[in-house]
Amino acid sequence: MSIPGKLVPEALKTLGKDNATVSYPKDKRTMPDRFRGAVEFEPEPCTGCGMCERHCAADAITVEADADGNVTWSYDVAKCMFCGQCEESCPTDAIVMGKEFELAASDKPSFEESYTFTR
Amino acid sequence: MSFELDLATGLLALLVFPGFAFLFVYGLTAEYLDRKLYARLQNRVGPPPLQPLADFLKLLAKESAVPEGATARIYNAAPWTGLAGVFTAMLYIPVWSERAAFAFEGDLVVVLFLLSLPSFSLFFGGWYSGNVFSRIGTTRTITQLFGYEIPFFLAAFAPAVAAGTLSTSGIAAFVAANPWYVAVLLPAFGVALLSLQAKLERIPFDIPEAETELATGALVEYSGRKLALFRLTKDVELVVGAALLSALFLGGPAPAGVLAGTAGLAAGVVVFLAKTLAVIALLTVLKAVVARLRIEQMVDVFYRVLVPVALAQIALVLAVGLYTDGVIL
Amino acid sequence: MSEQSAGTEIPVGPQHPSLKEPANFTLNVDGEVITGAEMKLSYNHRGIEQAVLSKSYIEAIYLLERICGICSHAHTSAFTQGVEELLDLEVPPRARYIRTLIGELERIHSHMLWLGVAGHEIGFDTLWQYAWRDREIVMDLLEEITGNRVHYSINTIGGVRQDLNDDYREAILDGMDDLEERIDFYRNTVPNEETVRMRCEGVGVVSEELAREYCAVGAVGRASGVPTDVRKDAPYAAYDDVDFDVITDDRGDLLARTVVRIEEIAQAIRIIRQVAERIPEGDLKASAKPPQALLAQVPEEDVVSRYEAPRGELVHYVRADGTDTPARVHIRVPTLANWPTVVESLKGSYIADTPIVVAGIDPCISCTSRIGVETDGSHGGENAFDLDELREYGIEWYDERGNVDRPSTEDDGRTVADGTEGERP
Repeated sequence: MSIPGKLVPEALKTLGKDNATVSYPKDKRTMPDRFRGAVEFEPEPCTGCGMCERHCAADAITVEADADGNVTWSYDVAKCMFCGQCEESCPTDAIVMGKEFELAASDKPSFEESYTFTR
Repeated sequence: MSFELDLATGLLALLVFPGFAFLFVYGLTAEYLDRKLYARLQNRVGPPPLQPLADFLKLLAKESAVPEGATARIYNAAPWTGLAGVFTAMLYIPVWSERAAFAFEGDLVVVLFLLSLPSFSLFFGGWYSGNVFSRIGTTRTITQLFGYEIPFFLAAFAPAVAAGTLSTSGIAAFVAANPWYVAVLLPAFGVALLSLQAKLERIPFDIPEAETELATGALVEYSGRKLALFRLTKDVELVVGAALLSALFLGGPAPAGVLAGTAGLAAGVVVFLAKTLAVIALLTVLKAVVARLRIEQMVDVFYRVLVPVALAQIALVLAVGLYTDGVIL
Repeated sequence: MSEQSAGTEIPVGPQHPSLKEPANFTLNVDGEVITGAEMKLSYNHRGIEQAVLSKSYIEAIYLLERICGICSHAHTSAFTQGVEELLDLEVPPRARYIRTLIGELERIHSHMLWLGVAGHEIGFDTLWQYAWRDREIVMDLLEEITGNRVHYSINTIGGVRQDLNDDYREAILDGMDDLEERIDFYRNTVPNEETVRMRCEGVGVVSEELAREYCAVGAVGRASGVPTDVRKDAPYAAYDDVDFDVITDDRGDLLARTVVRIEEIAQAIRIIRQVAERIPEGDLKASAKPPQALLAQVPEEDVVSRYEAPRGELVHYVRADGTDTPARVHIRVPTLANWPTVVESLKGSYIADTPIVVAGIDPCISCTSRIGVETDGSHGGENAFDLDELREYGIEWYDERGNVDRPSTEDDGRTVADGTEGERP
């Protein structure tokens, strides 16, 4: 039987329910464990192998080594697409996907970070 | 002396209560309550109380451009006519007592005519905007007008036939004196509610401004001050329409008449607000639970279903009148 | 696909409230009736098929995932299935079950998104809000299991990247119970709401003959009575291990498509329950070798892989040339197969039906966009170009146009690449 107003009981019941929305940024959700946010890098375990750069589809990571054995690992969060392949490809667990997702900023240089260390 | 007093009270009624100032504030409040209830029905939060005022002020601050293809004079004048119509219509509807600010015999016809002015202002504004979307929207507005005006008039005449007068105040007084007529007039109330929803171009009858089809239809070329006026017209029309319905079918400020003096007037205003808000709540629930119809479906429903119901209602009212006069049964 | 007839011409798009993505329909109308329709689709072309040629297969997964946000798992699954066939890798059962699980969760979220969008197109905003609220059950599950609400990035060459543990399995089963209640509500109310029937019944009718002639796929084909479903016709992942029905309807109108999609959500719930309950133990990847080792052995072959995306049959063609980057990737999305039915069913309909008819095929214009080239027959009288001829045509066209500004090569380090090396500006 099709009548107009079939949704009325559900609509009136909805008046009693809590809000389906979260009042962000006043209230924030906790992100689940596997959430992929901005990349976090630890220079200590890094060997400068460059697999992260090779497998980064967005070209967000660059790894350079010079003749003196200084390795520079740089990351541009604006290019990153948070796929997590770098974390998977890193043989020494130097790269971990963090939980940071509130990444908006108004100055471009703040998106890039780099670490230089000797190996 | 009494001419100046009449002039003063007249201007007070026109400009403050129940005229411009009151309608402006009440219109924006009604828009807030409508949007809040609509949001709650959809499990959302809804806007804060000052949102309609903020929207109005924001629009006033924006540029009001006149498109190249538009006929400037008509395009510029259109928003004002509808607004003037609804503001004036309020003067003939009882608010604080059974007597409106400027009641006279036959003012129901005047009110119904003034309430149709907003649709005509949409028509003129949209047609002379020079845009194909607004032209289609305008055609739909006029087609829709043909659809709902007849049932609306018939439904409004049912209590007039019952009361034997064409004065809105007289009808309100009659229904207040015979409260059981509220039950008798229920079908006409239903028809009037649906026709008012169509007049206000709200879902399921927002066909002329179908957002997903025509990008706001007749108003597509309006911006800034003129758009603010159109939106204010719609809000005030909602309030005036609800006030008219509560006066015709629900007895106006009815039970408050038992109190005398200023207490009675204040109570009358409170009852008026309560009844009009109830009507607005009904219209909001209707907006939330159905989809939008196509224009030919809308005209079909109104002529095939609502006109016969309204005619049957008038026959019922006549029969009840003859019964109470002792002529039949 | 166009007819010139008298009347007003209404442009729908590329900017239009009813379209979520840019496309253009030029409608010839006579009053409220549409007499002719023409369609242009190139607005969202992003050059993905070209860009993927400069990326290795492992990077290509992430690029192809981003063709579309709603059917992202479909693209990665189809692509990795193709590459696994090239490399002759046997994906372990646990990984196949997890791919099925995510695929069905994606199907649910896509159909619920569609239900909301369809509600919005016919002016039924409340249905829209309810459908999108209930869709959050699935989005939260996906975020818990894969780490993201869209672009799950769970596929890799040879298997999947994330595992399912008992907590997640319980969460899935609880979520499916909640969802089933809501789907029962939609099943009972949506087709029985009179105004929805008035807008959808008999609208946008595609007969079975038309569906077969135009090769309509997915829910559009199934709602016209054509029982095409890649999960049954050419099973992949774990689909030959689970029970489910292919939902068809014989009316071919919008109401049929709505009912088919709601019922498909119910079937997806059924599949997900089976997967969560009987997922076998095992490895997640076919081989423990890292991707670069696997990709050193790509043969010079080509492969076609098909997948039942939420919108229909998705086809990925991959040609390998022995290196670790593909030589050609071509993607035939289901929406491309369904557009002709839209243009046909628009003729004779009302303007008011345009949004819902367009939305009825669940269009993913981002998936679809291909370049449209209008030829005047001067190309040797032929209408087909190959890639080099097309490139030449483009360069000639621009040169003839004359005053095209090339980007400045000075301040921000841009280089004018010839477009084939994937050099990032």
